[in-house]
Amino acid sequence: MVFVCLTARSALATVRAETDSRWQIAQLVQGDPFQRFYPGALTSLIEEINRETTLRFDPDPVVISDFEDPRLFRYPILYINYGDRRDWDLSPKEQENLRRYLDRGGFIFIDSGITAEFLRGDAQQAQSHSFAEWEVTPVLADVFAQIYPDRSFEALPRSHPIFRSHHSGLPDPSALPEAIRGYVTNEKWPQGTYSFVGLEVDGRLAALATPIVAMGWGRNELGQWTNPIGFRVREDAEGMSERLREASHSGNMFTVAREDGLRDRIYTQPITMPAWVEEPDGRFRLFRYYQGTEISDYAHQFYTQLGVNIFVYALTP
Amino acid sequence: MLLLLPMGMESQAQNIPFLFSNPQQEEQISSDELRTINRAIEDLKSGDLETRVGAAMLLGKYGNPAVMHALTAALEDEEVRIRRAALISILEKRTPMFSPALTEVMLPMLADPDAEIRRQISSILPRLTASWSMGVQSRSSTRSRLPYPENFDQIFIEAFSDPEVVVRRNMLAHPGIIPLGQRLIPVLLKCLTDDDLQVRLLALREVARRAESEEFLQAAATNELGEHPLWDRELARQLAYHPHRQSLELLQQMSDSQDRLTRTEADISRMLITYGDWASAPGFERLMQESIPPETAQRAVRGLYNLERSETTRLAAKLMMAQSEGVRLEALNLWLTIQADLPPQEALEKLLDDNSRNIRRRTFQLLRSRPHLITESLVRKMAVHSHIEVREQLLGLLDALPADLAGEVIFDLLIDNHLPIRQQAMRQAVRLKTPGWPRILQASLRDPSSRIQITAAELIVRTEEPGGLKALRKQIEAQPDSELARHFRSRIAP
Repeated sequence: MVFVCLTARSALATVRAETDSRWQIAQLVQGDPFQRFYPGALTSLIEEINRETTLRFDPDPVVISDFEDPRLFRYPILYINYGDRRDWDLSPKEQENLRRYLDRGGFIFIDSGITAEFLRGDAQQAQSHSFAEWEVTPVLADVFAQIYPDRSFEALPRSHPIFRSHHSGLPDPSALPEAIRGYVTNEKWPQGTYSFVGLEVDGRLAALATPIVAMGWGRNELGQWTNPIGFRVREDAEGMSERLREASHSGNMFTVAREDGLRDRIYTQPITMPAWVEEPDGRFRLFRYYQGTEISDYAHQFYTQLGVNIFVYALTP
Repeated sequence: MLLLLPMGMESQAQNIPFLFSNPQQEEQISSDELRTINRAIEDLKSGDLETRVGAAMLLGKYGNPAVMHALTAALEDEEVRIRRAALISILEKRTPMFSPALTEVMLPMLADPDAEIRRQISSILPRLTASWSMGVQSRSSTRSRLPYPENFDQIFIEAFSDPEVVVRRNMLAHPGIIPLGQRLIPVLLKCLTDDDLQVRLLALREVARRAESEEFLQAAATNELGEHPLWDRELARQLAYHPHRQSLELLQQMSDSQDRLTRTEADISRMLITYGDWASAPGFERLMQESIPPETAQRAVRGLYNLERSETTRLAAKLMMAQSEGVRLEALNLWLTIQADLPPQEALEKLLDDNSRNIRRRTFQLLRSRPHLITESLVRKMAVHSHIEVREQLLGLLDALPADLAGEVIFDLLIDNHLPIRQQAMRQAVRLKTPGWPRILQASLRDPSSRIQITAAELIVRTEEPGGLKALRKQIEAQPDSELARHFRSRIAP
């Protein structure tokens, strides 16, 4: 009887048509989609892409809850905020689907798929700190190692075309405070690049992981940025290394992978707030915080520019 | 390496209204940390500039009254690098508001010779002035408002003409916290001739709020119409607050502007001033047909509040069908606020089909607050809707539906493409005791998706439904290596 009812109604399921013929992006959210991190961010970014490029996306992504969902194969790009999936233990069906999706030309962008070790214990912290590291988070490394045992995520070089697919270079930094301008343009985001790692399939970048960048996408209904962002930069002074080497700290110490493959030691004070860093050459530098409207605006511009570049790259042959 | 973090906490000072804050005092300091702090404080007295700079920076990592005293003193250092380092160290402590003693040192830094310092200070004015504007709590729980030191007035006034444009913009970003009263008006009028357009626009907005109409209209003439569309649009908006014949003449002139948005803003302001027949005004047609920015839509639609209720309702219903998302959203908000009667069924269906998630969400709110609007036809459309959340929201409306219709909806959603919807539909079937619910659970144990199987098993175990328990045991025996078996084998007594 129940099966009769289910069968009779299955016709209803087949009549669901898409709202229009524009491109759509799939977004994976495990659990309640309304509880996802940065809920308006992807829609804001898509609207920005629609404004800035000739691409036309439906502003509403299609939400799927896992890789078993067959609708995955309808969409060329899958966006996932790493924190929106609590359980990364993929079922055999999911592994199979994910491999088929990537083998057949799909592109997965895993935002927050790079999460420095000192942020991993707390999902909220991991979403609130975009900390550059050139290593995919270990859980993702394991997931993809099961699917592609002979491949792994590799750091993308600063010369990678993904950083220039639409925007090229950094936004004009002249509004930034002098104290941090040089650091931002020369050391951290040179030529508008950031710490990305990718996995190639058939010589093509198929999966991309980044530190959280969605924090810089969201706009409210009035078009204003919704999420104030501050900068944290490395600073030093002559003789400071000696003082820091001896300085007491009450938090933990962690290491993070650098672009050159070496590792930085991060000292926190207290608990999880990075206070200073010991670099591979033995130099210590302090993390310093800067805030202000122009700083927040700049971070939003940059992260939005990165987001646009990623989506344009994914759809560019 | 650079770390970015949301500054949400920075904006929550209003949640700590009586805090005379010094959270550092509450931190536990170890003896090792104390040694580091004491050495850094000693280093601050060094004759070597680099040592002093490093010490001021390092002290930002520790919370302790002695640290705050040392950093406060360093704010008055002759060396700009020391002052900068101490300032950033103090700001790093995320204090939602500063003590009056600290503010008395920091606020005069608005006139610091160093532009970077002036920028920083101007960007934290709300935090700096909080102890004056909110008062200080005494031991007897009474709050007393502190008088501003007299010399601050001149510091504020001069900051509005700071050579650094970021400082001038920051000063105009929070004019309400600057305690100059009417003395601020001439300062603002001077800003209307600033080289920076953003400064001029912010000043125009403030002059419109504070000045008498005659003064405002004279001020408006400081910039030529047609020179910059942003100025024209802002002026058109602000003229609505000065309902004079001269304003209307100016708006009439702006209605012919080359700039489409200037024309729209001018037409809306004319409607707001005259409150004539909105539906036949040219501005109303623009609202219906054109792409309207959200803030413009908000301003226009909110103007409808002041009309007769029946007219407001009629026009809001019309604007719910406008081309622009912002207009539709505001019209729907208006509808929700005034508790108008039944909107046309056609409008409701269109709103649920809307591409805007915000509009769909507002429509759910409307349906939840007024379930009598939910018709059978609407329910059937929602059950097969292309937007996931429309189908999800329908599950939350089941209690408002007749039992047989609710049952049909549940059956529809039990075979939804989206797994969470199917899981939720199963839970609702059990909660509402939908006819056949035990067999739904039993059948779901054989679903291809392990998640559906597990949800069904959870519900069977919870309800202790005998047929379901038997079916669950059988399923575990039939597929002993399945995820279902792994989860439930130990929970089901043989």
